[in-house]
Amino acid sequence: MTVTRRIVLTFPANLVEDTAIYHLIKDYDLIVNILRAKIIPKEGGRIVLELRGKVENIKKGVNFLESKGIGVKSLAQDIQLNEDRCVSCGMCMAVCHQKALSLNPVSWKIEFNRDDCILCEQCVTVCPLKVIQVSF
Amino acid sequence: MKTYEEINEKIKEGKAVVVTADEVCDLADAEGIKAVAEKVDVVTTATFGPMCSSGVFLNFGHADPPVKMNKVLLNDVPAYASLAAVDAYLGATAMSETEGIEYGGGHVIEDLLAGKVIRLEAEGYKTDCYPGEMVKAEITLESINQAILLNPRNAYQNYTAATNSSARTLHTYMGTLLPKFGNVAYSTSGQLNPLINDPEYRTIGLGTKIFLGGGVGHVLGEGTQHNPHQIRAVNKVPLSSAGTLMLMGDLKQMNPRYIRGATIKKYGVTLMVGVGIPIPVLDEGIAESVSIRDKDIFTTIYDYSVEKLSKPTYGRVNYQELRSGSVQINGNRVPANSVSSLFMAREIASILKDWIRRGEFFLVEPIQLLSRDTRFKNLPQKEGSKKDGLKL
Repeated sequence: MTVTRRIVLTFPANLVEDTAIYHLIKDYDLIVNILRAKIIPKEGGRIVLELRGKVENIKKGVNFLESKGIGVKSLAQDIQLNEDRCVSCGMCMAVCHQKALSLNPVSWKIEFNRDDCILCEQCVTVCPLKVIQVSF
Repeated sequence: MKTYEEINEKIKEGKAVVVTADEVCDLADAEGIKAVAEKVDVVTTATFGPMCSSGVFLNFGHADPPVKMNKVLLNDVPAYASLAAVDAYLGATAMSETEGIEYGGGHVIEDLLAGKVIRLEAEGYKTDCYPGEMVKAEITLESINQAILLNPRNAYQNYTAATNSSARTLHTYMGTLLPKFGNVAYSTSGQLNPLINDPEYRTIGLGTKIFLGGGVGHVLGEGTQHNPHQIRAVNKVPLSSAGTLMLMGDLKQMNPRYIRGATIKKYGVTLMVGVGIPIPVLDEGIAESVSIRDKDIFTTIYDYSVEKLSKPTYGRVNYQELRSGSVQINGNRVPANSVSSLFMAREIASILKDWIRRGEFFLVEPIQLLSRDTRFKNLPQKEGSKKDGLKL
């Protein structure tokens, strides 16, 4: 079965020049889409990646990355919307091109669909109450 | 026909029929306006959103030796202190002298309300009666004498919708406006909005008792920039920003859930305020006004990229269309987003309803209704004005 997964890779300083992504494509037959990347030579880096392929290939690919020492987390763990403090004003929706943030048409509460988020962080800077935090 | 006294008597007996401005629409649809006039006593309206023209009067109490404070900082945010010795007015939009717009008056108000300790630094000049010259203190909402929220302009009766025709992103008090008509931002609770439910100001005025920031407050009268002459639809509802309210309440009995300091990106500090206003259904005319629905409330879309007071418009839309998530501009679908919270407005309307139903909140008949004559004026500049000619 072909599926799509979004993950965040954390590269330690010694692996910044590693060609891991090439191997994901070549060895594990995965379609790779880099959604966001921030790499600083000698310091480390992070990549937001979309992987498309067979479930078992994605699993094997992720194991391969981890075996090299690259941290792998699902996107959801990196972004937090503090629902207790959020007032559902809707200002974040203006900048969310992925439509990951939306107002529920019945409750009028902001809903955050993590699967659609690409961690662009636009909402983080726009939120007037600073209730959205990303650790990227 | 009902009177305030009759309605209050019913509230006392626990017999008053109280519904929100959302709920009354369903009754009007099912049974008609006449039934609303007969059956319903009070309709609760509400709004929650950024309201920059807000602030709090503070009295700190006297230090020993006493100081005639004329410069006051609260957590590095300046407050206006050209009042008696230890009085100050902290405006919501005041900016921190150290953090700029990331922290300001609105945040200090929220922090006070949340029970946090606030750093007070004040300076004065020596007089025979005020020998002290400076004071440093740590204050809390409880430690000071008064904290009276007095907001010169809140709860706008309708508001313009904003878009951006230019090629660059705009950062405005209506939030981010994306280039080339990337979005439309709107800010009104529509059919829940207080003054939209009382379009001709028949029940709201000086003395009206309200929900303000989670506590009880009062309407003082028209707010600044009150504009009753705004163009209106056949149903009397203005087609853009119109009436406003000046509101007052004791901050000490409010709730930090409904008073929130906010920073609007590249614009400034503001205060999100929760307001709930009860409307007595005195007669059929009022029953009709409170039964208005989003689809019958229109606002005008303005182009905020034009750096002129008078901005081009892109037609009118109703709140049902805005709430659908997109509207038409020049034949194209444009995403629409709110900047005020309908979720919170509904919560407030329902809390106020409960207060009245439980017999804890009675209606106050205003001693003077809002003006229907005030003229809204702009400021003509002196010809040839230049910045270097200012004494600032």
